[in-house]
Amino acid sequence: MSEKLLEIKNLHVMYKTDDDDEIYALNGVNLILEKGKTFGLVGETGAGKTTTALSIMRLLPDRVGFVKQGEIMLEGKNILKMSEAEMRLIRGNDVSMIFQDPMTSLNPIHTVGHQIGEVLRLHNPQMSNKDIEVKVDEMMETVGISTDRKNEYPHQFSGGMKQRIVIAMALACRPKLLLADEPTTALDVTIQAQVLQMMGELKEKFDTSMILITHDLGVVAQICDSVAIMYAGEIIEIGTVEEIFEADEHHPYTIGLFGSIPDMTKKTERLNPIDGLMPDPTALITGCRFAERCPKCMEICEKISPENYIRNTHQIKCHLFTEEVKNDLGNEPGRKFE
Amino acid sequence: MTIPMIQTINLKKYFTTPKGELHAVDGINISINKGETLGVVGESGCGKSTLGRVILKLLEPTEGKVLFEGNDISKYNKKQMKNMRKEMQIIFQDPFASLNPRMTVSEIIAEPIKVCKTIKNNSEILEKVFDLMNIVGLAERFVNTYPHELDGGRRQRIGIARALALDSKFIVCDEPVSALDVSIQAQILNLIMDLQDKMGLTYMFITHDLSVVKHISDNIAVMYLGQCVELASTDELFDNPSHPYTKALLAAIPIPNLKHWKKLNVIKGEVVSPINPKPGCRFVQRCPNAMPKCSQEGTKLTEITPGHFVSCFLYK
Repeated sequence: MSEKLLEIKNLHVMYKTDDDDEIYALNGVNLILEKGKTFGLVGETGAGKTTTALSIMRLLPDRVGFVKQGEIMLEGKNILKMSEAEMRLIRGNDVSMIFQDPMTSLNPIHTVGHQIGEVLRLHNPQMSNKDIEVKVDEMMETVGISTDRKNEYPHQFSGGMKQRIVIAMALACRPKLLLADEPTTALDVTIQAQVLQMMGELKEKFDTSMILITHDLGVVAQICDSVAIMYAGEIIEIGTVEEIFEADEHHPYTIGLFGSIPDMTKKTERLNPIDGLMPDPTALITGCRFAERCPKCMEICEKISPENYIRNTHQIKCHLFTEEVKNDLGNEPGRKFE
Repeated sequence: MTIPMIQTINLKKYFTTPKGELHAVDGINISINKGETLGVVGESGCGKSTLGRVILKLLEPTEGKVLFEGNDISKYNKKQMKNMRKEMQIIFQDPFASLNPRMTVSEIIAEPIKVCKTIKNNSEILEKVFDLMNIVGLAERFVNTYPHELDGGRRQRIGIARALALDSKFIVCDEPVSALDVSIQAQILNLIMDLQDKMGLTYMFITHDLSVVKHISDNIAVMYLGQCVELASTDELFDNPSHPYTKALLAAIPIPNLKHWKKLNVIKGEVVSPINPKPGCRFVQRCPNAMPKCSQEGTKLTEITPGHFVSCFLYK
């Protein structure tokens, strides 16, 4: 049994807007990340992927985002109970984050060398300037940027190189956990392939665990060990990458998501998208959150929120798989999803 | 032989910048037959959007011709062009920036009709608007809403309805789905394809997403730094990619299927600047098959098998 690095238990997060609307961003998220693994968090805009990452970093917007309930355990310690001072020691040191847009996550008025060094200076006050410079050079070489460019400013670099610099910053203190929020979405495919390959190598080298947030199932298949599919603030399916991509039983939303991507490997005439839109996050829904759009929706789905149907490491949050429904339907074909 | 709907002959568009001449579109020869879709793929900055705009004469070409049903529209004056605009429309990438926030849905859709005066009676215009909303799958209750009240998928439907308002024959789709989530993207792709079946539209579909372009196109042109490096039918291009850049592009896409898992084949380097490009092949710095002559002389599109054109010295 490998070691748990991070465990999220029943996390509820809410945003309060100016006109006192309450937005239910996360509604009971549970997940476990083991040491050295890459965990993919997949879902569409507004599913709660970034909110999950910001909660782990304790960076939810002030006075707007609130954790209502739940625990986030990092190596057995609940980080939601830590003081801001304790948290500051963790951020960038034990847990660091890469944001989606490399153009806006670098400071335009400092050189890139200075910015990579900043995190080292903060977390290692005893380190001499000379040592920091050596470390910065080392990080730049690791991400494949010539050290001659240390004194250049972010605008002098291309998008792919900026993302490499952001990765160098995030990994400078050798964090245990790296949160990568759509790290390659803003990049072109050939550059995306370069960055993904590099991230995989660095993860091995630095023995870092990673949570990769993405909407691209191709990227997930490429580098993740396990995957959670999120929908409207809930994890509706979770499992190893083999279970999500190859098992027979899936949540109807997962099937819809796969049906929406044009398949490069075969010819399809029409795509099979999911009808409708994600539910309004301000509405409290008692039943299944996907019921409205679900092609297999039953009476019970609109009333009671489903439990997780568990088989080994594969969990599906859907009434179709709970025991009593199974008995009702018997062995009727079509119960299993293809 | 039938006359293609759109044909470009040695089409060029250069922009003057303080650092020199930016070759955004550099000698493109393509043609699109009636009722077909040409997919144009390439990475950011390769000139695919500029090409779309030059074909529609939203930008004046620096050199070369654009033939619409055999007529050279690059020489047309403003008045002639205004007439031509009824035949050709564009759907933009960003459904948030391409709709006027101060106009309602019906005003946006009716605007081209009012500008071109194809229908003069107000109640008939409104009828047409409802008709169009119906075609693109927008509920009638949205007729008086403003764009900010709607989500990305619905906004893109407005953009499509506006492009259809003049019963145009040719539509340039400039990354119409890349700002949308996958499930919404699939709805819009289905809509765009259904409209083609129903109305016999001709599309030029610009995208960076190869799986989308494979799904929707009959023919594909691969662009790199302003030039077309490979042009073939969709099946041929994916079965037999020939230009080293096309091969690299295909090898770099992660496929959401574990059975087809492969180590991503990574090409080195990044796209060089399109300002004052050197003679010779523009891909030479990144090309795994580069030869000495590649950096000396330029290449031309050559037919290697019927209908399959490649611009590379490997095939000469």
